[in-house]
Amino acid sequence: MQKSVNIASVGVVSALGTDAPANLQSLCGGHSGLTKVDGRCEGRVALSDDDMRRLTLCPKVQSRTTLLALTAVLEAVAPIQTLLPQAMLISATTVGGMDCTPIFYSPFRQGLASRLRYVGEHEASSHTEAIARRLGIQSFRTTISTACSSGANAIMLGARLICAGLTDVVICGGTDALCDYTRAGFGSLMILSPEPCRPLSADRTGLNLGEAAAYVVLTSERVSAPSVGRLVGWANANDAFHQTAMTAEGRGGALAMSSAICMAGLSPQDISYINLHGTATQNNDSSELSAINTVWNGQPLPPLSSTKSLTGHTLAAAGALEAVFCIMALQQQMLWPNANFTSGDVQPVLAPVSAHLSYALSNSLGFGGNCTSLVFSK
Amino acid sequence: MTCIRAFATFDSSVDPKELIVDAALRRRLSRLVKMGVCTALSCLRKANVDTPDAIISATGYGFLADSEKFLVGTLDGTAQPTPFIQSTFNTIGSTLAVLTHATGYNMTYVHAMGSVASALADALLLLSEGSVRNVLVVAADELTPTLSAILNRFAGRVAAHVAEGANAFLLTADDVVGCLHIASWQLVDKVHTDPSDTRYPTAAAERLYTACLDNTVGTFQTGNLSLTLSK
Repeated sequence: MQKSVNIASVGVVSALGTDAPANLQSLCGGHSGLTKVDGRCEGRVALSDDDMRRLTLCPKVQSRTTLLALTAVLEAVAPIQTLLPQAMLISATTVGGMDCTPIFYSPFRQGLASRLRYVGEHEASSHTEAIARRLGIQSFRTTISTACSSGANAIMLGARLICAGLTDVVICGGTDALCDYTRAGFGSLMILSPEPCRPLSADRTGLNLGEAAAYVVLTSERVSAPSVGRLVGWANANDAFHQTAMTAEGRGGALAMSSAICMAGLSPQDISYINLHGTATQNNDSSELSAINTVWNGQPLPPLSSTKSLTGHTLAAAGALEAVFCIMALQQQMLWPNANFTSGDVQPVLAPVSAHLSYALSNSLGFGGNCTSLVFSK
Repeated sequence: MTCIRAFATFDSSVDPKELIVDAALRRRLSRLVKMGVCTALSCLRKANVDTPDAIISATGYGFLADSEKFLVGTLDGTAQPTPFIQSTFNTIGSTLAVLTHATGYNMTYVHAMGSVASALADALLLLSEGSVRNVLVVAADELTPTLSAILNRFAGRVAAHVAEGANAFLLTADDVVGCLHIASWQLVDKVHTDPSDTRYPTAAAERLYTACLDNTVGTFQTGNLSLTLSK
């Protein structure tokens, strides 16, 4: 059974840029996409909803979550158009159409006239079906939603479908738009920082929200496709402790990392770079570091960084966005920086730098103890 | 060979106190989470399994009551963290993980009437990969007054969903006499919808429950998934 998959192409839209080359340029320059508006520090995509309706030729789509997804997925499939008829599709979101639902709901609850078009895209599946329609996907498609690990889980399922011989081509990724529901939610948990977030810093005060969409096209050995990298290991495990907090030792993360590394036929010392989940909350970063120390078991740690310091936490897109960043790191043989670091137990990569990279590990640790790790190679 | 070792449907006569002992946790759980969790725990009890190797959830609409509660909170400036957290789609899966100390694979599918097919397909895929001995699959959806009102307005355009429910199955990679077996499965391009499936997004799971109860062999299809059930 095939145990690693080809990554044929990628598509991405984030605070670092509106396509993959722009994102890469920002990473190489160490430029942050975080901006401060209305007292909130967030990673916004520099495209209006109308911009995206025009770019994607989808004038009727309401939800920004869907528009971001369409924008990124169209970039991802551009080089593999001939493979589309046989492609499966797995997409992830936490917001879905909740960015629009309040426009319907607010007058609705007051018994006033309310427009159905603003609640018609509420479901998580809505954006996935919009992608399927736009691309002419004819086979299996589904939507995953496991909080912050969603995007990584979409990629993992795609890989498993290919390895099982159930498909030769699968488009996988995730999307989430900034919206008031999420802002209020994270605000109520008191884990938002009004300043640019400081992953791994001892004085970190919380996360910044971001929006993004990122997709990768995975292919089997049976089809002819370009290659931008390979996915060689994956695993999902659960912390089984609490809905919103990780165990201090990060046991779910440790399980996910060690399983993914083992599955790739590697040991921790083979990992050249870790792209952390690194949200910059006190709980996540210390749990994640604990987990890494457990897995590395006294061996020197590889260079590591949280690119959420540049993009914000993009929720369901994060696992897919950071997968793309790992693919880019391997392609370019560069390490991406962890911005705003003051001081802490472990020093991350501080500025973009050339390095010899063989394998990159990406972590996504979501609410509900949902932990996923992915291992990439050139 | 995959076996449907145990199956359960939501039983409102079962007191949640019997299954979820931790009172503080139980009080925090919304109605739908309790429905899904209790049904899943009943299923595990029937199979005599304390900790499943994997937990896969399916829901079409997710946690509407909590989503609405939090939404109202954001509009009124009274937003509380609990309904926000409980509105995340993987709440049933994560609650079950905590209650059963399950550190294995945990996934949640939210794809309208395709959710059940996705969850079952993933479970079958997981078992075929040989990494787990059993997988708990739980499907749940709730009907709220707001959902009813919205669906009534859409009624001219889509079939109105009129029900809610929770169903759970424990799939195992072994050959147990007396259980329904899944002899084979595949993902097909043509989506299958039974009329009864339209009552709520995960109603296909109720149809599978009935098939298990009646020991119905033959083809079972939902969404892109086609199964062959045998004795």
